[in-house]
Amino acid sequence: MMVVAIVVGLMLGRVILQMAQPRYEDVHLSAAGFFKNLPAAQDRFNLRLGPPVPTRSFVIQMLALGLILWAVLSLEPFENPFQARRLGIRLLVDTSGSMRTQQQNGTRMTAALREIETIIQTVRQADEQGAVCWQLDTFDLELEIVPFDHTTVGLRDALARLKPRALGTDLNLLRASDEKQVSEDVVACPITHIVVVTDQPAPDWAAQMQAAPLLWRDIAQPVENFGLREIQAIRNQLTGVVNKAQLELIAYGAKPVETKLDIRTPNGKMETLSVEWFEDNTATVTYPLTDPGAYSFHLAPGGAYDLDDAATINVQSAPQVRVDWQLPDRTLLTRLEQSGGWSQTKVDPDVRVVSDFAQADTVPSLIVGNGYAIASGEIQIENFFEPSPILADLNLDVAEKFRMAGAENPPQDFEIILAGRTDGAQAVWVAERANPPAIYVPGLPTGQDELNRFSTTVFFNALRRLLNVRAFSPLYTLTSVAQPEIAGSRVALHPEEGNTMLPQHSFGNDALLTTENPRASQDPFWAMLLALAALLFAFDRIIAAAPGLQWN
Amino acid sequence: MPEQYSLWSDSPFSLADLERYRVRAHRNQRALMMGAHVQRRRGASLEFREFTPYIVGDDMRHIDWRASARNLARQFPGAVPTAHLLMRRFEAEEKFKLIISVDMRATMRLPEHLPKLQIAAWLAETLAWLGQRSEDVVMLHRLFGQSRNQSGLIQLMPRASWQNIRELLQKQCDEELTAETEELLNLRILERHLPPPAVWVVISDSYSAQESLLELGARITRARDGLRWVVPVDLDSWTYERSLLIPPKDRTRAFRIKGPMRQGVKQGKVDRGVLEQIERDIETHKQVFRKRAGLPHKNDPNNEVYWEWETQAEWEKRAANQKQSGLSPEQSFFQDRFKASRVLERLFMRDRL
Repeated sequence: MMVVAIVVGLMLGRVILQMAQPRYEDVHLSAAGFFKNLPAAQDRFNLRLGPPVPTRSFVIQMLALGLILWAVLSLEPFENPFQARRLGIRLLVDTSGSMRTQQQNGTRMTAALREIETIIQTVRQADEQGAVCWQLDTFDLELEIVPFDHTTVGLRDALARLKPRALGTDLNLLRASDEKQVSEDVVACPITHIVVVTDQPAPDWAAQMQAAPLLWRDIAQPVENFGLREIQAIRNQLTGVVNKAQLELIAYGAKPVETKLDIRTPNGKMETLSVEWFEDNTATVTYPLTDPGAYSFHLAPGGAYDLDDAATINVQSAPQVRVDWQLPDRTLLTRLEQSGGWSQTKVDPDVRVVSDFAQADTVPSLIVGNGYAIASGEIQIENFFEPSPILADLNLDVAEKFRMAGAENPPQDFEIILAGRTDGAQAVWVAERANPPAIYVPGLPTGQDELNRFSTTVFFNALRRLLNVRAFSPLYTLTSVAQPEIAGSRVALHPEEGNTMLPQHSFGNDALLTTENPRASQDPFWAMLLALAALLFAFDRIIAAAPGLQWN
Repeated sequence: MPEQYSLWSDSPFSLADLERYRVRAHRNQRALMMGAHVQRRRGASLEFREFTPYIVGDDMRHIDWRASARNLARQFPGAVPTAHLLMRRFEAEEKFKLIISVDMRATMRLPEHLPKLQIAAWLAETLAWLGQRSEDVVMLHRLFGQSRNQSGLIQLMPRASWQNIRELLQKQCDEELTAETEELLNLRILERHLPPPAVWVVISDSYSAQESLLELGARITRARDGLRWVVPVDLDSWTYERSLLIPPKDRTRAFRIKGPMRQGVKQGKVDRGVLEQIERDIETHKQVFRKRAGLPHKNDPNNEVYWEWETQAEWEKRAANQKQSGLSPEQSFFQDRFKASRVLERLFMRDRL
């Protein structure tokens, strides 16, 4: 700003000087040859109001000063001339679970702290002059400001208390904080530079961060890791009982030679399974879950990152299907109840079985038609939605042998799954509403052989589909910002956190950490402007010095 | 290279005006001042008629030296050296030669409002036409600017039209000359064309280099000594140019002086002191010429033509007044000066004997 003021002052001064120049009148005289050297037009400063005379020299000099001003203005950001030059360094330190990864000379968090110490040493000289202040933020799944006094001593104390958390990494937090965080701390410690210390490689958008010059320090060294990626429940779709757990494993780096999965069941039994890896460095282990309770899994060897080596899941007792059966024929219901998996209830049922579209409300509803009969006359299937799971395993040729009770005019919000003509009359045999869930089927399971198979399949396909919308208790939950510790079935299997083989990619030069305007070293455009201005000045002076040349 | 100056198409005089002027000049006979032309009759023999006093321009071959010697004793002390000369007059005369030399240098092409060259061109045209009508041999001569072609000296065809005269003057004016030759006197070409009787009208502003002026002055002196009638026409625009520079009372103006000049850039303040010095320098410059040419210190209206430009204020007043007359201020300026000149009138006066 001071330089801008100087340049503007020079321009104003030049204008005033030009305004004070005598205004020459041009006159052509035949007696010009008799005029020898005339006295100077004025021997003292005499400012005249009026526009300055645009002589060649004046125009060129103003042009050169304008280029200098442009060069100065192109330097960003503007510095407050009344504020002492300071370095305000905002440190963003990764505290996600992957910072526990073991690599050479300790964990990644250890490496991060060493890197920060290097940065502290880089600006030591300025720090000794009191020209450095610090801001410390941590990030994993949230970005948190670490309060301290902005001094280097305070920074070291704060860093000593930093520990990785069993959480994943969300780099978008950094992008979102690009403007917000800087503006909030502008008074206490105006930020001039941002340093990100993480085990994640610099993303492409890092270069576009605007708030301040950015240094991205990726302290990760690629190391091998093997761990649990996900545990999925395999359930009986009708009853919701979890029959099995399917564990997905992944290896980063070379596949281990022998990998064992130790399992502890709810009744204390220990079991060890061998893991066989596929070519793509993944493995799948399926384990039957016969009893409700906690099952613990531990992978060995686990690799450099430990939070994906073990997980505990919690298997709930087999839930019953709560059904509100409103059909008069309760034969099937009785059999299902007797099998133990079903119970009739009107209170908060999982599914409602009705005979009319009007009874299908917000509860997932199965609308059962009047049933099947041996067909007489012509039956023709005209329309069917083959991908629908309701038609899975159905032999549609069989469907043309039986007269199925069809819904003549199903409500508009029902999509046709299977429809055709019976004796020329249109009929919808299977239809589904997405929300709230409801499915129409021709009738209850009935008949023999083909008819029995068809009617049973379509009935239970529809039922299974309706029961799928039930919310089951998950086998496990992930640690979160609200609950960052691992406990019970709360595990730290965050996606990609175990990927310890990412190539290292840092960004930004330590040389930027100076009290000089960092933008100046990156943008050469201002240098060209200055060079042009210097050339113009030189041209003006050289021409003015040329003897005999009328240059003004 | 001189700028291509285009002569104006409208002459200040109509042919009828000039004819009236010529006839009036022929009728006029002034005491103590003889016309350049004598009545002439074409004749096959030369028959003595009488003795008459010699006047400048008379053919020296017809001076009767014996009679002149005898006449010498009757002269008063202080008489002009040629006062005693007597001419034999005959019934028939030889043709009279009128040579009009025009200075066409760069200084003559200023001031911008009325260049001296325009006045010179009109004067040359007018004199040439009048001379033609008087059956004189008229020659147009470019005073400065040597060139290889023959445009430096042109003899008019008998009974040349006004348009012919103008075209010839234009040709002399437009000839491309180098910067070096533009300032060189073109006198050698004139040598064999100045025998008596001849009238040599030299139209210039006397702003050329001093060496040229000295050479011209010497040539004029030789011509005078050879008893040819030399009529210097001094076109002086300094009065007008000075009026452009006159500062308001108690103030100084700053000027950038542009024009034909030989050295440096002239810019600075112009006050009355500067103007007076310039005036002195111009006067000194001209006096060197006048002395060399044998001219008196001050202009002799009986033998010289001196036309001074008006001041800027006077010019604006003339311009305002001329709107009603149908003449441009330049034309009226020339007319006024031409009609008032006794010397020019004498060029076409006759002796009625």
